[in-house]
Amino acid sequence: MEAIRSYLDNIFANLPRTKEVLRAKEEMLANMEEKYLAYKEEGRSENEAIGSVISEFGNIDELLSEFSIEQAVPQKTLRTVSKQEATDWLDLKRRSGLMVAFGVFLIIAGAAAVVFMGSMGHSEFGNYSLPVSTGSAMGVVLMLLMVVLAVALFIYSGMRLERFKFLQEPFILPDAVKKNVEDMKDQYTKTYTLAIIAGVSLCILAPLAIILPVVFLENTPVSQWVILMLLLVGCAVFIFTYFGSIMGSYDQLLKTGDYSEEPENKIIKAVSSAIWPLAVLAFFLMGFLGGLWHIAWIVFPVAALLFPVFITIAKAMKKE
Amino acid sequence: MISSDVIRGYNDLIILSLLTDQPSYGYDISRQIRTISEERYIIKETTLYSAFNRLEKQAYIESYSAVGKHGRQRTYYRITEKGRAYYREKCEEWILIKKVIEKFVKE
Repeated sequence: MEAIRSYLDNIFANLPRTKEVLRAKEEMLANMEEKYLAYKEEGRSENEAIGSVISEFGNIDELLSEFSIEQAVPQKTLRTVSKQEATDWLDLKRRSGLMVAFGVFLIIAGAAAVVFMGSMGHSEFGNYSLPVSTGSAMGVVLMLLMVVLAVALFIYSGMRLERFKFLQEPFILPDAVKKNVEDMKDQYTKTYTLAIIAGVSLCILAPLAIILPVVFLENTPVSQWVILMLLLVGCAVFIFTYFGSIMGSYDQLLKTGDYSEEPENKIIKAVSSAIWPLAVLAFFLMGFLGGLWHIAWIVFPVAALLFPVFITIAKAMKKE
Repeated sequence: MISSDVIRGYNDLIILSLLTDQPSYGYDISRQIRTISEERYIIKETTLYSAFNRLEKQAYIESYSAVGKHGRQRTYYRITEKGRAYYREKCEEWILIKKVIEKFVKE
């Protein structure tokens, strides 16, 4: 039975999904299933029954001329995504999302490490006094090690996903598989919403981690609250990246959300691929050239806050 | 086996004839065509559905949804008065064609 359904799915995959066409498909599927059951009852084997039913399907062009649809022959035959491939993709994307999210967290934690090691030199931690320059230098080394690990994770997960590069081109998702993925996405939406709420809450709480102690505690070393804030932001970014990547894996298959087939906004695309490398660059420039390690971390939260603002503005301008 | 090209103009007649006595549905029609033609003509799914679609558009048949014997939801078709008239017209046309062609057929 499944064979008949996927046969029809493939035949109808390139046709416009009008009410008329969908009805034709449903009707013919019902007929073919009944015919298949009757053949089985006559004592034909599974394969014989399916073979006969499919050989008696006819020619789809006949139906199209009836509906006066020009067969929308795609320039090249589109790749069909099998059920197995869809499952593999979702699975792989979940794992690579975890790696990327961890990598991003490492980078932010690296910034926290610089602040931490630098602050050791201010003898704010009592006995662990270090010369300021030594502390900062060790912090930078530690951070660079974490960045190296993060970049390794990015490259590794990117290479694992290489196999699914064809999903960036137009492709066909058979109806049966599509239904399946839609159900999975529906189930996931609740988790995703909760995760986003948690992430946004963390982002809002993060600045408070500095503001509150500075206002209410006297003589408190700011640096340790900066570290706390960075770690909170790191957790938030981890959540956005990991859960967002899973949501993205559904959207990419279903061509919804960010992956819908609307013409893409080139400016947004360019900026979104450049913003984080630029932020890292600014961080290093401020640190190495300006010696501003204690404050350079600010570029990350600033970038994180400005980016959504920019996207909203860019989208609004495009609409006008 | 009759090829679908040759019989094209008469699918309407065949289907309407099967609907004259009682309403019926897709698979049943194709099964009857097969049995009555003694397996000489097996109508293709696309041919059958195109015919239903065309006949319904011209108001020769009407479709409705009903639950069949085994609890299956099916689309049934019934013939209309206009359809009966068209059927008779097609039958007369065939009788004429048969007479004419007969004269050219040498045994």
